[in-house]
Amino acid sequence: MRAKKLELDAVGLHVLHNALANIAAEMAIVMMKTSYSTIFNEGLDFSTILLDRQGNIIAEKNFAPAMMGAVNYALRWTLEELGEEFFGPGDIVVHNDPYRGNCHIPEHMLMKPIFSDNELIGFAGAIGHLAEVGGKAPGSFASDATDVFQEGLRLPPVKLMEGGRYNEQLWRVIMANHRTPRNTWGDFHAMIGALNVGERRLLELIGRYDLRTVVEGASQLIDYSERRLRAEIAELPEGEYSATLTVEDDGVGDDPFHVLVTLVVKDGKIIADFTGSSPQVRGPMNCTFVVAASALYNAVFSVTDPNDLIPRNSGCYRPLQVIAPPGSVVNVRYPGPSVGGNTDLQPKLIDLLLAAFAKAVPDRVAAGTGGSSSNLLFGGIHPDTGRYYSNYNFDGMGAGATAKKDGNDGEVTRHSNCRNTPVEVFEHRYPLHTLNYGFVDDSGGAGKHRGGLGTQRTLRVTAPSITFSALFDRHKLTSTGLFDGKPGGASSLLVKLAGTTEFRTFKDVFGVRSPTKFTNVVLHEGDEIHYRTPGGAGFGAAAERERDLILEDVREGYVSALSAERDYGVSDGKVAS
Amino acid sequence: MRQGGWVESARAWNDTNVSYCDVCGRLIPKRSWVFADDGRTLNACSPDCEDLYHSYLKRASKRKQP
Repeated sequence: MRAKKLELDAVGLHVLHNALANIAAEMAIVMMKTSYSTIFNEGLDFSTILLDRQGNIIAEKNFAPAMMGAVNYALRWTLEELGEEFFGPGDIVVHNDPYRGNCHIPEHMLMKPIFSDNELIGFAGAIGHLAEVGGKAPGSFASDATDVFQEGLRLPPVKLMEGGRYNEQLWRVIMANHRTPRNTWGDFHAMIGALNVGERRLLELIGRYDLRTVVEGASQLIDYSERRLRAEIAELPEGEYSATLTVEDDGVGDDPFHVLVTLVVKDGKIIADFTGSSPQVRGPMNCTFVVAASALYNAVFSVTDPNDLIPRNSGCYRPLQVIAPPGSVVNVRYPGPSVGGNTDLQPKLIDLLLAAFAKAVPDRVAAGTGGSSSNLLFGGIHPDTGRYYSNYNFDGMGAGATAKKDGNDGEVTRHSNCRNTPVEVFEHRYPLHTLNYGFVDDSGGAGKHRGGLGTQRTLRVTAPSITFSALFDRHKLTSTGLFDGKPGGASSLLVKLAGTTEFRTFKDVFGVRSPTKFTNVVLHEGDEIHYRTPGGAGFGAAAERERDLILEDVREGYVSALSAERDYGVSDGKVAS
Repeated sequence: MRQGGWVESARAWNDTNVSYCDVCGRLIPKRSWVFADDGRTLNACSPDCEDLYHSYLKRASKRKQP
């Protein structure tokens, strides 16, 4: 095919950016359409990327922004550790090591080098949360894990495919350690398919234009994004802005821990300094360095580029610097556990960073979110198939209100950007019957703008037995409002055993240490679980909320008449004296 | 003015330890940028972190000490 000429002017770069971004988007669709697990094809808990030869991101389809930190570092660090020569044509490298640039053990990043005329020109990447990777609990999410070995099989960068052929020895190890090897097989192949499509499309793009134009254009796009983000940061008032966060417990003990951040905004750059945060905890609420980085990226993009106008590539990350002391809760050291740090600390780190930004740009931030992915894990032998199944389930919670609007109701955490699994799919795949599902009234923090509502759901077990684990945070400490906004509602998790009439806490029934963070509780046919996810906090004083909005909330059942009177001073449709 | 230099890790392939930057906390996959300050040797992930140390972290750390 004869190459067309592409001028690398503003128009040409725009064309090139769209072409690269569309490749990443097509890769994502391949994963969604071909994966086996609901966490991918319904939840969209993955992202796809194209990277240059040095491991810099040139385009991404960011279904899960929680992974931004990992995609920015994982390949670059692998290249630095193992060298470019480690990657050969037809290779695919897998990596889920939380101490080497991944978010937590379930997140697996696959990287495929792309060659043109035997020259390495870049990489296709896919990162996603595998729903089951071994460890002490089905769903690989043990809220009482005290080291990484209890969380699942850890893979430093190793070759899943070598020269286009299966590395059978590695596949055998992986499949022997995952409880649902059929899903692992299918989900890995969905990721591999996405990488192959990314490779093919990038080579087609190079064929359409030419290699040097695409490489040079991608480099210019990275520089362009950096300039754009620096310009946005330069609009922020320079200064140092601090905030603190208290997390209720680590899943193992009852003590709270703290995160402290100082944001330094200066010269078109931002430093997020987490010095002074608590030492890493025993339980899995620690996060990795790249998770802290993801939180910073999420917060900064929310403040500076909420409409996603700047091309997302490595240039966007260059002006942003994280300082996360190793051995602290924001930079876990080996062999500390970290599975909940990604799902339940990261959203709160974003809230924390936005609370710090609130001192500089109050009209651009949101109040605290529900801040918990409300992780519910379960598995067992499916009575219909006789095969082992396992699932990692999350549900929507309340988002924090902003200066402009109420928080979204029933939204899966902002950093994950995931979707819930439709009830029909859920019931088809798993032996659990959904008895009811909806919003929790009064769970949105009161304010001029109301926090979003959490959700509630009741499930009945339809198999002889199912093993459950849970990590629901915000049970004791709820979301924090801004500018006199009120906190959102708490999470809860209750159980009603078959033949009984009352929902009680898991702590009461099973003697687990925490009512919302526990591992491997066995329920039986007819038992029911009822859970509530946390609500978002309000923004601004409740007294300033428009009366019509309060009445509408009451009519819609979002706010009870009692809350309307107590929190807003509105009674029977009239403002109380 | 940067004073440090690159030092390559001699870690064997079967050594599972990892190292982190004394300044920012990032992983040091292979080689570290080593510099000294006040009699202390710091292993950093890049020359930029020596700059960060002098321009921000040293001052901030002193301020945060009780």
